[in-house]
Amino acid sequence: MTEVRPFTKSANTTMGMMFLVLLALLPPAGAGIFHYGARAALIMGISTLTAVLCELLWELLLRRPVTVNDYSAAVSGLILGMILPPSVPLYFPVLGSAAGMLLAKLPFGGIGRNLLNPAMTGKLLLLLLFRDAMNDFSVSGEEALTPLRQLAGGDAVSLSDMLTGNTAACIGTGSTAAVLVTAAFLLLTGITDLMIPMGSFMSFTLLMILFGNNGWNPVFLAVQYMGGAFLFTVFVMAQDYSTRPLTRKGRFLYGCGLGAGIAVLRLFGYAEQAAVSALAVMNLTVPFLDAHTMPRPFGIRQSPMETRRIRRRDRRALLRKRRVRAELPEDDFDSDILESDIGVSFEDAEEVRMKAEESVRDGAEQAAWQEKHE
Amino acid sequence: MAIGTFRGGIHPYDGKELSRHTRIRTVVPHSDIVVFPLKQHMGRPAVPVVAPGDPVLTGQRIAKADGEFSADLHASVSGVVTAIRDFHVAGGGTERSIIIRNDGRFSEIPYPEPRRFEELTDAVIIRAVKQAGIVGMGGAGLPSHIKLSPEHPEQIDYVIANCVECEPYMTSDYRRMVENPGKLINGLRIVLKVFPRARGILAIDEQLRDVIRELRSITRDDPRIYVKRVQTKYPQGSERQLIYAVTGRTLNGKMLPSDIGCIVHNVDTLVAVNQAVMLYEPLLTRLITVSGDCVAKPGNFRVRIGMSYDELIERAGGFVREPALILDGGTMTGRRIRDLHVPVTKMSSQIVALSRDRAEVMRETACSRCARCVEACPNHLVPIQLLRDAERQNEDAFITHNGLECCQCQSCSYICPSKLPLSLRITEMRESIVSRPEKAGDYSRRLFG
Repeated sequence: MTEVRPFTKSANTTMGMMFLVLLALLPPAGAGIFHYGARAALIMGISTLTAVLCELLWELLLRRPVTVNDYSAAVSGLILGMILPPSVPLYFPVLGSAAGMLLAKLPFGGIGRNLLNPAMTGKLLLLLLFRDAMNDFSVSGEEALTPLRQLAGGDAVSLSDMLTGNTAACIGTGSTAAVLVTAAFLLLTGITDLMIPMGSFMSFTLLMILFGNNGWNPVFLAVQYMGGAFLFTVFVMAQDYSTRPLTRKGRFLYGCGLGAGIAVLRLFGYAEQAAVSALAVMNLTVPFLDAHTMPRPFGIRQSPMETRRIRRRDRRALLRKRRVRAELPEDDFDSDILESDIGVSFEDAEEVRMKAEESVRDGAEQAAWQEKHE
Repeated sequence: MAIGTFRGGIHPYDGKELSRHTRIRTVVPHSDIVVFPLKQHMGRPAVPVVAPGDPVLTGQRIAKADGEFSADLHASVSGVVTAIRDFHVAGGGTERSIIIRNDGRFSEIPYPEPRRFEELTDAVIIRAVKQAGIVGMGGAGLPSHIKLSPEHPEQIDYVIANCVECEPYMTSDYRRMVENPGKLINGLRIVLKVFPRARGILAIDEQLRDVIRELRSITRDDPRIYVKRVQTKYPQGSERQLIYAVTGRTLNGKMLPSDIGCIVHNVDTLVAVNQAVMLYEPLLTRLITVSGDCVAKPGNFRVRIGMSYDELIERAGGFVREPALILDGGTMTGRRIRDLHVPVTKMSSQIVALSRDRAEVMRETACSRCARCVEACPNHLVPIQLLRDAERQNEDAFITHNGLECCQCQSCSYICPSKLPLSLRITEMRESIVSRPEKAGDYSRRLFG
């Protein structure tokens, strides 16, 4: 029996939202299987299964309420599978998925409490452990370069191949078209919003134009957008509820930082897998962003302009107050402000106040106001 | 013209179709006992001016206001006062009440001849409203004459008639606007008389096109009254959100509408003002929506104050199936009631009987930080942060995070996918802080003593 208002609640549940995310992830996963074969399906399957089992075992062993039915573990597992190259050994997804869940998510208290994105943590760990294998995008023995490598090497890059996914990439991030379908689905169902992508696109584009040595070249920009995991990170991974800021402003800034991070890592840094590293850094800023982007409540004016104006007014009042004091005889002045402290008679204080009012009426009023508001 | 609204808000199922098409039915109590709780308003309970054994007539004053935020109370039936004792009320618990044995004749006190408000002075209008015992019918129960007498009446720029019923299932204001728009407009004109510089605005839900058309045509020749549409959204009828939607002025939790030159009155209040000023009629009846899937004939009823809820439901045809949930008020801000043997008061607004308790089956799960509550909050707060502050009993953090700005609209609890009791905990914490003025400062202004 519920005794508390409201007596009606939205049909929305965490489980429902996560199930929609799983559905949304199907097109890029399907594209991955189509291009890289059954092995891709196996990797994603193992990864998903490991994540779910880890959460289940953890919760059973520690006698916590079992939460695997909210699908969040499955989503993390599937995403990790999707950001692995198609030719990794089959113990990679097991290791990555388990590390993601057991290091990043579960010890912090499960869904909503983790600082780092579990899929990202898993991938980062695999990258650090197995750098070569994680950057080997060959499929069935054929050597293949990622579009970004091709671009850096001065080779021609086929944009249409990048769109369909017929290219060397991670399983789920190869087909730009499929990733955009996912993004559109998530946006239309209201699961994500455009704040993070907006910020990312702005900063990423700006840095790419300024420092990419290709100016406005649309092909260069398109390859940068479509290559690597930029779109997948911005539209899917960065939108992980647990590890994104709560407020719109915070999300926008988070997006700006993410886009800038990816651009900087691609242009000046260790180029492979820039997106995941940038995301890791941005994850760490979320508590800071949350604390400093609290929205201004309805009806409370606190814009920086307003704050400055109030400060200026207060400062002027303070100056006037000092001027009033300077014009008064020393002892009388004391009795005025310390009336209550040292018990000077009311009449004395009154006389001083009258004097002050006569000389600089406005100033005295301001001073009184100031005193009251301190 | 753009349709006014605010950022945030939700769209719950409104159930208004159930009751919006039937005419208002006037019902009088048939039962012997009619009960008048002494506290039907914001301030202190009224003081009885009758004693057991006294005969009373309909419209006679039976209790007088005690203090500024209290209101007079009038008998809505004729008969004999039998007792003054504690009686169960809809809010739970008991209140001291005057109990009158109804003689069924409804003989009225003689009223003077109707008068024209144009010739009256402001003081006479305000006194008439005060003597009629009118309180704000939006739910808080602030006596209306207080809103009519702000410190600087010449600084009031807008008098807003709140014709937005955002609460689910409620249609009484809509029926009122359909059936007697003249009384509403006249009530608004009376209030405008008190505020010489003000413009009158009828803020109406955009979906009520028939009413908008009708009121626009009635007010076409009145240079001071405007009809403004606002979006269909919960809580659009909340004072702060309505003022913003209509005038663009913002109001925070520390302020009263008169601080920014606005006065907001409910439809039913304006009609009561009209009756009180023109016809000397005290507040004896109130419009109540009886709705929900368990009620045989849902609709709106003009009910005499003091009639019991179960008698009212009987007039609405009784229950067609066993209700799992009976609410005093709507599904968003209402209260569950179990005992139906409670009187209708000036603050009652509707009774909703539902066969299924939807919220009951929903289990609480862990917060996923989806930020739905942040998007929904009409006051632009971060409810999940406030919930954490409240759970840790950290009052300072709660105040820093502007928890005192919460208006208890319940939107966060409604929208939460994890079904967390956000609004409940925030309200508890807020009330415990606001009850101590030294901690809450100006936020205690709305408590009124």
